Amino acid sequence: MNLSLAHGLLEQIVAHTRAGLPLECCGLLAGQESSVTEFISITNRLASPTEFDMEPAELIGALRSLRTDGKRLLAIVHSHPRGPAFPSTKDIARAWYPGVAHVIVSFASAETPEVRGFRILDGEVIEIELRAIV
Amino acid sequence: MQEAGDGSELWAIRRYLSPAVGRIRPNKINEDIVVPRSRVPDYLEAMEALQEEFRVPIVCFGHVGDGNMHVNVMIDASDSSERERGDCAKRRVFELAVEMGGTISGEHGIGIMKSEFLPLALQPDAIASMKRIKAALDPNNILNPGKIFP
Repeated sequence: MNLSLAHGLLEQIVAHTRAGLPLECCGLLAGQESSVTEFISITNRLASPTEFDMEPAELIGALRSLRTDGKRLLAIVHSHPRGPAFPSTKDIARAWYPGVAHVIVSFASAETPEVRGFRILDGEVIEIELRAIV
Repeated sequence: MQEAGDGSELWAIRRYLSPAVGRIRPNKINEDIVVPRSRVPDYLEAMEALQEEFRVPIVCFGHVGDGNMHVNVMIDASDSSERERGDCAKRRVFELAVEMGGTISGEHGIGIMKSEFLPLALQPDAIASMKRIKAALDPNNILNPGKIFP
């Protein structure tokens, strides 16, 4: 399943994750079908440059709002401050949402951050297409 | 011979459910969550979706009258892929219960197996307060060490 991102959303995600450097940032992408309309930032409770775990109360509150509003969780987004735009071993082991995509923002090259999307199924990583609506 | 309508057949189903699910898969990740009674249908629907998402059968039964359900994620533990999928599904079993206004244990308690999930149900300051109370009553930590707190 490929995803399209509403106008301005990609820039919003990159700006938010850049502001969190040198720590990993995380959040949710939500919308309908395969159209992402919303980025919800969630605190990384590990406050680490190399791993993330979404603050449970914020995560659960966000999931509850999505259900109430009839929106779907479409992706988990997080940043790799120094690593590549590819799921790490930890990301693959902690793929608790196989039904949704994983979007990774890499600042390995700080001037030109790279954003890529994946599905992680049974430990296998499959790249998906992310299309930003301009 | 039991008289019709005394519920004995229903009780027989309840008694045999737990051993019967062993025919679906040899192993089960057996959890007990609780949600408000009004959310039981939503929770069951979510479990149906979850079994599709993780491709493992999930059997729910138990004290449904008070919202406490035994959620059995059925796996073949000798299949490493199925075991990993089951373990990942477990976190979502708890997350969905809390999201729907419930909590991660109806009657089994937290113990050792669920301690890593306690932060899903309780805020850090609540856990810190509980730890302080425990330390005041059990300064040498001899009562159930290693249980409950992550």
